[in-house]
Amino acid sequence: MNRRDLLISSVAAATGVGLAGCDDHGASKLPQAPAPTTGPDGKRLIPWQNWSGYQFGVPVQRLVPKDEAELSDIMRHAPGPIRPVGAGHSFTALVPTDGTLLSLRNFSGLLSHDQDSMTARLGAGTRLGDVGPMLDEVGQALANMPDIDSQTLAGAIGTATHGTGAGLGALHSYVKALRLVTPRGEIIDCSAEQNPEVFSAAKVSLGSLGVITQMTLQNVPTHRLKRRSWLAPIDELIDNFDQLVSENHSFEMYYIPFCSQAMAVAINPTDEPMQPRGPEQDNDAVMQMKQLRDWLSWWPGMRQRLLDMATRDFEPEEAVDVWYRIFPSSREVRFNEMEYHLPSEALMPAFKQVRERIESQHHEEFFPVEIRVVRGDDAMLSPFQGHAVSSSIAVHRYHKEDPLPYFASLEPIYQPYEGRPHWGKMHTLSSAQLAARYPRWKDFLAVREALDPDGRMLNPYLRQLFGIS
Amino acid sequence: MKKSLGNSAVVAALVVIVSACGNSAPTGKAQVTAPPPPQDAALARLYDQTCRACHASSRTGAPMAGDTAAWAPRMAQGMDVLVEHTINGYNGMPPLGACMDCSEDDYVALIRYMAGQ
Repeated sequence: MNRRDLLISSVAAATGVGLAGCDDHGASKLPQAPAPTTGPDGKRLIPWQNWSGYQFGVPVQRLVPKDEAELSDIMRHAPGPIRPVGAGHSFTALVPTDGTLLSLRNFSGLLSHDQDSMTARLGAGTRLGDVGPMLDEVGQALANMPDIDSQTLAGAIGTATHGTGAGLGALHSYVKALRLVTPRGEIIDCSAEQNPEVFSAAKVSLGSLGVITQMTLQNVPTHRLKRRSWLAPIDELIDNFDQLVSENHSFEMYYIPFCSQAMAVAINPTDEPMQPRGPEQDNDAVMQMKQLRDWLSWWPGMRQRLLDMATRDFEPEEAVDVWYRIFPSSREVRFNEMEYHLPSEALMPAFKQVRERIESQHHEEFFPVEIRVVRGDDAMLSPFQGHAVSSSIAVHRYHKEDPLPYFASLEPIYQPYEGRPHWGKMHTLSSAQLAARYPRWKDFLAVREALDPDGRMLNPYLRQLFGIS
Repeated sequence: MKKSLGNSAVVAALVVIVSACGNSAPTGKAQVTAPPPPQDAALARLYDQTCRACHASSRTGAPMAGDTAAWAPRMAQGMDVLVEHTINGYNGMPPLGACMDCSEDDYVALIRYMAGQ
């Protein structure tokens, strides 16, 4: 027996391989999408599912309007609830409907641009991953991007999707104008000057006011970014978090459960030569952390020792590339997620409680916890409304494992800080709780009532969320 | 020596042992020349708006469009299996393959195109 075999045997024996690894972590409790049935034409009738597979529904019809005239007709006559769908990247039940599911595939692409004002008008169904090359070609760039670029523009702004950076707003904060097709078939153009109340409501509207078909974005000149990621002792990163945020254009931190080190990622403008990112390593790393969890969730001390040893020699990574190839990462390991936005002064007190609770009560957790910051804005339902800078804590649960016990354990931590949940991520707040945390909640509901008095856009989840019977 | 021993233990633990419940991580793919777009304009647009994001990027774990060698063992499983994987998601691929309005016929045509058939 050579030394490696000896080590393998030792670790396998010590960890009881085959015992810890067979806990399904609530997999049997996960909701299951119904099996496809066969339609009258002999073809499968396919249920809709979101990215993680947690949300699903069987719409009576899926429609792909080719233009606004057809969409307007659908909005007036199609069976409700009418739900527009983007990339299905929301973890909440925003999309499921037994009525009409609308794809905006035909509302995509760069429609026009203006170099003087550095604005661009894009179809609302354009995926973020496609926005990058389109804008770069005309010399423009998004000011910021989220970590994932699969979402459509409408889905991203509708849920207040964001990246990270104290001086960088969420995507909706860069929307200068948008066009909305209402449930009554009206086509409304709105901006800060034109229908401003509708504009303030529609930027973050969860697809509840109608269907957004296009939007004008305030962009910046295209540029090159440098991404640097490194590991450091987590206590050091916590102590220096505010300084790192202020010193970098974009900064985020990943806490790795049961590891003494955390990952930092900083992104800054640069003129340095191109140095593209290599193959994505994060997906393999997450699955390796899962593997270690499977063996050692019952022995956190050894788990931490192994993680610390595995991360000890991690060399900082650097990449230089065009903006849209630096901001997002490829996330191949599916998950469900809960993210709360907090006032910046509440971030570290809340995070320390999250860390303590994970390490004391959630030995099953292995996904890194993501900590970001976002510049505030004034959209009615923006979670960043009223904050100069918001902070956020995002926790994840592997898509084949039940997320609810974990999320239910952590969610109370955010309540004394009046945290606001990300609209596309799982939470259990009631309409009354949300109303208390959004100063313009009633204003939004008034706009919604005016545009959709019959509630054609409301599925059961939205009715519950808005407190509408 | 102590550090080397420790790292070996980690590597052994993380990479070599296969757990009883097994789970393979996605792996990177070699560069493959992209095939010409589908001749059918509607299919070409559908591919461009959905599958291409992952199946034309070597940074994802997805088999590249046109990589017939990568697709051959998958096609050998039969089209029904591939369509079922597409509908319910498989490894890194999301349910519906990111196409929210595709019919079964669309999925079959897109799979055949990417597999080079």
